[in-house]
Amino acid sequence: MKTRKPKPMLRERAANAGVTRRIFLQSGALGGASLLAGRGSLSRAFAAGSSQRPNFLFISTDQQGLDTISAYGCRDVATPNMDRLVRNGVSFTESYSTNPLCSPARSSWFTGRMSSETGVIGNSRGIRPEIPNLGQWLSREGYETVYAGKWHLPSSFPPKIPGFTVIPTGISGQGNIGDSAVSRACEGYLRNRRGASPFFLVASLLQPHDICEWVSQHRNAADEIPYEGIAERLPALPANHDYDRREPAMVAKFRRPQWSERQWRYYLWSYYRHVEMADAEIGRILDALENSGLADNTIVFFTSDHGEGRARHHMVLKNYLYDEAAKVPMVWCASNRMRSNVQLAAPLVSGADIVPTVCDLAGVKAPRTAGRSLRPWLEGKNAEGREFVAAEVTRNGRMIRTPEFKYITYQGDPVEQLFDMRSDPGETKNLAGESKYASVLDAMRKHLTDWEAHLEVASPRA
Amino acid sequence: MKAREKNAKSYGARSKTAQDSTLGRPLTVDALRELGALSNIGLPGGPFDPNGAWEQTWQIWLVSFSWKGMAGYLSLKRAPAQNGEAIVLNVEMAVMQTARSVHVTRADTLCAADPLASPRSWRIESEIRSPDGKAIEVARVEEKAEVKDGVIEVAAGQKTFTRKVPKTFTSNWSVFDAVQRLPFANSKPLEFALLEDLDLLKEGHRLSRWKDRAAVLSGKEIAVHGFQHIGAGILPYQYWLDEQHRLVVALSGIRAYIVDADAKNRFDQSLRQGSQPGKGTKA
Repeated sequence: MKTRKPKPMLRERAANAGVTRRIFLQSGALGGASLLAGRGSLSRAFAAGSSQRPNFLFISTDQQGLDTISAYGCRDVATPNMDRLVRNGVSFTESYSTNPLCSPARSSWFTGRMSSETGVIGNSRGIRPEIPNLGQWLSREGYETVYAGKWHLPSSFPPKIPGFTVIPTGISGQGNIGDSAVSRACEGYLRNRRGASPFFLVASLLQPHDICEWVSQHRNAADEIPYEGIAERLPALPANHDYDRREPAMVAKFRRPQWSERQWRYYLWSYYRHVEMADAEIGRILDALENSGLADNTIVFFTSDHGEGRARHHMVLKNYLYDEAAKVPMVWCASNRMRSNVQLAAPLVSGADIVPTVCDLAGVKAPRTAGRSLRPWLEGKNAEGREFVAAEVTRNGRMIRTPEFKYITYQGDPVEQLFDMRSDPGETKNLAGESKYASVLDAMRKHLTDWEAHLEVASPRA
Repeated sequence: MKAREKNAKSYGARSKTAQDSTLGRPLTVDALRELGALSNIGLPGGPFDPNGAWEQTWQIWLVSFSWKGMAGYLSLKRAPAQNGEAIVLNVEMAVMQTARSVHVTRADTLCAADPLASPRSWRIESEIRSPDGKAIEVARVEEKAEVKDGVIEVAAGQKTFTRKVPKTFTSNWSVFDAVQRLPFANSKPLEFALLEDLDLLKEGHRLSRWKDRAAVLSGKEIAVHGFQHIGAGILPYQYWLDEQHRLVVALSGIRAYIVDADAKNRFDQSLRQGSQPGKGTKA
């Protein structure tokens, strides 16, 4: 992906809006007394720099949009453990899935390549065998690579994954009970491991993905909430609940429920309970790390494969390119190596950045990727951000996102979408037909053409 | 060939959506019956005293896109202790995973003899058994814990640590005990923090009386009395009790607990038969 010239200063903002950047960075530097301190009481002495190769703990959720975390201001949910990560790490708030669908996005996490390149452009497909996954790559470098939870490349919860030792845990479609096994397995691993080599542990949780089942269950549900004490707690509908009827046909295809306002709000309430389920499991894993004595030399990073409609544009689920589906959390924590409690609105970030970032932090040469290392931003160094970030969806959808604009197109569909993300972050006013934006539209089309030209696209399958 | 043209050829017909689910409505006692979950279950017989000593087992029944069936069991054994000042609650739970491994949890809990059966001390172990039945040692968790002045002191191997908890809390397993002791008439709601699986703290929970209805279990129609439970980090629970206050069905989201004295045997049988919850599903 292309890069742009550095800006004079990164567009940072403190989690607490009243705190200046200078003060904030100071508090971050001094605030590492307990890397992940939360519900546990063990604290870690601040360790200044480490020459050891770091361990990695990769925590992922499934179907969690970026702005579903209390620490980012969401008042409809309680996420004390994700908040721990945000407080103790660097958050990228313009973070995009490479393809807002489970398997494609995951193929990018573990290869650093776009889904067109991995060959995983739909669910339940395997990564092209000639492209190494991160487990294979790091295990060759002496890492102990361990996997618990959802994989979905192609099988959801396979007993074996190339490059990883698998602790076979998790249940398809049932994060509500399978995630407990995943987090317990990770807890056990962090407590019991004995090896001298560094580890790369993946804790791949399924929640809040169970919302798919909830939506299916409630598609034709009566306009009533059968439980007391919920009606008065329903979240408000989002400001962009309505949508432009002149959308690309592929977008409209994913708009399904015909719900009343109360049903939409009940759906939101239920979604946030699913997010809280994931949060609790994350708490168990973070506590295990904290109590294991391994936290000082472990880099934790957290993301999700894609978001969830959350009533924005009348949408549920995923597989389209509005921000509610495409934007995901991306948080990196390591108190003695990185800044803490910093939220960065630049650079634009992609799920394809995980592989180059991990390799950079591990001191390992990265394979060819479509991403770039985020290390400079984690360490507070100035660096060139991207000119744009790209995403794919379904067979022919593409997104180009610059700091200012977002462009969505589906090959063969005459309707293009262009949004000014500074003045219209909810993507409500399509500017593609306005002559005033013709040059912007042309520039976005050119970005897409140039970007596609550099893809090493997988061959069609039989 | 251009990238998107290649993709279009490769995409195939795998873009099925959530609309494919066959349930299509919230999980209820009626839905369970229609799915066949309430037929041929081993209904416990004889009198039942929720305040006394008892042992109960429930099937753990899951409903998702391609898996509708039993995936495990929960067994609770209750005994009054310390001259009525305490309750001993023994827990055994096994849940089959998609890879045909099994997650087994066992806990021995000493609870206060209060309405919530509030846990006071416990020993818990979690084990992942691989498909060949062997425990995966590196994934094993064992803990002992004791509550003192709003703090849980935990010992795990050579390490000890503490956690703060709200004054009023209980576990999900204690709720199964507590709900059976609530009166059907003039029952006051119980408010508490939930320490799920004696570990995951979820605040703002409320257990309250709901409504009555009929249910058909193993071909026999009985009256059942309902309670509901909401709070952070869970989907609402429904608890359905028979006339003797025996919990016969509990529901939450896409998971159900169905009373069945034969649940352990059924589970062992399903392991031998090679059942795989969720095999081949989209998630």
